[in-house]
Amino acid sequence: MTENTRTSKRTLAFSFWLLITVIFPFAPPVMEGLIRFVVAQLSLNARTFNGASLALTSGLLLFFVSLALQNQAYPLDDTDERAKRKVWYAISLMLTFFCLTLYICITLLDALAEFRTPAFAQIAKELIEDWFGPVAFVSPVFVVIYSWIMQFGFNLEVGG
Amino acid sequence: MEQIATSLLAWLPNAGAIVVWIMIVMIASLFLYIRIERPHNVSVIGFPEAGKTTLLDKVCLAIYKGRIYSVDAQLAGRETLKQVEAENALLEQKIRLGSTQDQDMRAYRTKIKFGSFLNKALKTYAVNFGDFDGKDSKQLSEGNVVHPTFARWVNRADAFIFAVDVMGCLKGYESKEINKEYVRKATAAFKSVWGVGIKGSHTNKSKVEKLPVVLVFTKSDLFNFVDEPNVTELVQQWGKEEIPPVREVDRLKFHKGEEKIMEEFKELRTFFAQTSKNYRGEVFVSSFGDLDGHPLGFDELLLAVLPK
Repeated sequence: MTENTRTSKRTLAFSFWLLITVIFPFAPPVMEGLIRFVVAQLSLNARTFNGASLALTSGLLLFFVSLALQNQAYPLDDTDERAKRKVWYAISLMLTFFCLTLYICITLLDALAEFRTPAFAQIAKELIEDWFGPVAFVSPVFVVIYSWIMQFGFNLEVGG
Repeated sequence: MEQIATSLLAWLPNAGAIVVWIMIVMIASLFLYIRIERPHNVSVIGFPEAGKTTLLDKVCLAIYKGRIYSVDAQLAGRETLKQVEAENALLEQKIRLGSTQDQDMRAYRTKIKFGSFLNKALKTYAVNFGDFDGKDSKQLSEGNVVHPTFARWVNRADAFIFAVDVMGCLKGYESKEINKEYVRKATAAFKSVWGVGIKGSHTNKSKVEKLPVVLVFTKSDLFNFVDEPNVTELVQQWGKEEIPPVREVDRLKFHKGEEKIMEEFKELRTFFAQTSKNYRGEVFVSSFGDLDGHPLGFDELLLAVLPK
């Protein structure tokens, strides 16, 4: 066809999307969890997986999705399509802020638990284990599904 | 194993909370899955004056007026609606739509649901038909550099329509022979477009082979004139220079014409069948003629370009 099409980025195969979007970003927190699992003599608890790392990775992935939504060029674009993408860009940004806030909350509570009085530490630990931990633990599932839906819904290029 | 099971049991209160969260996540994901439309871009390849813009405009108008019966279709976006209304106003005043120029290229956007009840409930396709200057298709068939937007659209397309103008085939039909020179040219050009221009230069050859390909014969209402003594003059008049009145296509003449065209384009049909793993066959369409009260070929065309 023309040189510019041959070199243009293509919608990527599912396996490549999985590698770039799921396996690479989530490898560090999952490996961290596995190491803790092995070191703790194969016992699983609420702190096996680091909620803060998971929330931060999810936030970064959502940030990439929003960047891709904002930057990707579409042939025969029009105002209706641009408006639709802007809405999903805003939603992706809001979810990014939610994940980053979750990351800040867990890190802050973790730090407070370490350096404040034992009573305060207990409250902070309970908050992490009962509230923030489960949310951070589940958020990657939603984030991966969300990014996959955005991927096929807008033919996004991986990594923006 | 026992240790893992014990630790899991000890963690059960937290696991309960996680199960609740997972359910919330699943419901949210399902909502998103239903809400997001799947883009399905259709590339229309055809030479200048083949009736591509008029066909797309009329298909959209049929969708707008609820004259499509095989799928649940509606127009998407204000721009498509405005465009269709403006072009239809011209056609109603018997003003023919001129050639699409590079600056006029646009997408006709539709939303389509089809298939089983579950499929309709879960999936909506954003079917976008790209309308380009026919010169781009011609240049692609000659191996020349084409407009970058056209090239990008073709490279990202999810389905291909190859539009052949029936008018070209019927020129000189007074001798009861299809215009073989036109058939030969169209066959060679489309073979080049598909084999070299699209498949040959596509970045994902195995993917492009699986995309739906449809061979569409436009202006099929012109079959109504095949028994007239001055066919060439009439098809020239109604197929190119003037807007034909909306009328019922003669079933007998249509089938006769259809058979002849199918026979003449056997080589091209075989080529598509051999080189595409998802060749959806041939569709005869008319932007102005109805068959049995329904727009000729519109339903079949929409079904043919949709994914399975």
